[in-house]
Amino acid sequence: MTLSFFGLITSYLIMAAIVLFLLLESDWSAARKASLIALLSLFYGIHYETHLAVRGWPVRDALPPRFRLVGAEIQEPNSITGDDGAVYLWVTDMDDHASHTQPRSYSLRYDELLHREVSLALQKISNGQPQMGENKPRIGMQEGRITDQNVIQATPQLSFHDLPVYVLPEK
Amino acid sequence: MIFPSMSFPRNNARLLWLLAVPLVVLLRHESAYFPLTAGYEWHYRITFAPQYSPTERYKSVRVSLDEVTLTRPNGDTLNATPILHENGLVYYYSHNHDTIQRVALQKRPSGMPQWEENARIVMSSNPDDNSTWSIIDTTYIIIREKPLFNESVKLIVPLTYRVVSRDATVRVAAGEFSNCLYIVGTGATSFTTSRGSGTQQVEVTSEEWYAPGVGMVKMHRIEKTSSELYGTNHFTSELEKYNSPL
Repeated sequence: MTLSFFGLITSYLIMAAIVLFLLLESDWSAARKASLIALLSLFYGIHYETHLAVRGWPVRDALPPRFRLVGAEIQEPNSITGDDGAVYLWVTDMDDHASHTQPRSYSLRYDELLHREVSLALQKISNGQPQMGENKPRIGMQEGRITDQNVIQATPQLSFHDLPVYVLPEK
Repeated sequence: MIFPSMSFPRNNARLLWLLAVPLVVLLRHESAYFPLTAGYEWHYRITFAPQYSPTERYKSVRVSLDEVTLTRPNGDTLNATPILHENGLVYYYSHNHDTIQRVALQKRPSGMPQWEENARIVMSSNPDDNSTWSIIDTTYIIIREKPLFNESVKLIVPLTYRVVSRDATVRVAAGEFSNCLYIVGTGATSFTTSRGSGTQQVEVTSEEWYAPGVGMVKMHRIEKTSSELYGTNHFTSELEKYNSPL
């Protein structure tokens, strides 16, 4: 982590040095040099925000098509602060080494239905029943209900399924 | 010239190529019903349907990893393909001219592979209509064993497999598969119940379909007891989605 921040600061310093060189050595107009400084500041801002998005803060990317739910945090909308709320999922990709990979954090728009079903999935996990999420439309299924004992339909796109807790008949 | 036989006239070289192509296809076909190449990914729908308790549904994922070399306690080595399950179990498979075998099991990804006491035959390497083979299996559905939870109660059951068809067609969630190898394993054992109802018979039947180049498409296992307490129990594993490295 420390090394990453050192790399980040160094890259900023290198950019600043290049710009400083251009400012001192070029015969550009004052307006052009001011624009360059503004652009550099903008670059820093964009770079920093992008960096945060890939450094462990929840991303707003699409969830993997199939994932193991490792954990979740639900934040309800707050009318006092004006916060819209969010559902944060910590998941591993089922398509990558059968989910035996590093988990990643995702941010989803808050939804009461999603809140309820993620809570149910978390409850199952705490009872020792691992959960797999599927991020795809499930045709013919009614939105927002528990379809049977082993399937939780969170949204039209998101559903949770039980993973086996037993040793299965195997070849 | 050191290898004079390597110097072929152009026509002979062409003939060699023509012979090599079917040979490569044949070699690939050797384990085509149970591919042991890294990069496969199988997603299954699992259904447990015990007679006297509610049906349970699960999803299960397996991926084949790069071949590894396992070393036996006596120093012998064996190349095997690990297949990793979503619950962390890793099964190791190897094949020779006669059979494809499961040779070891690793209970946790961080653990060490444990050799099977006797390599368990998955199927004949080149199954024909008369192929049969036997394995020592256990019951799974009557008394279920949880991973990392070592229950001592386990019924040993010998199963004898036979090839029923090599051109079966089976339809599952992943689609329709033709030219499938359809095998059936049957066996029986008995056990004494702890509820004072004497010795009970158990019949096990395992129907399995394997598609060339895909692997196991469907398994339907029945564990039938003569006991009213344990009843007849079904297990179905059906391919829902797969990715192949080719």
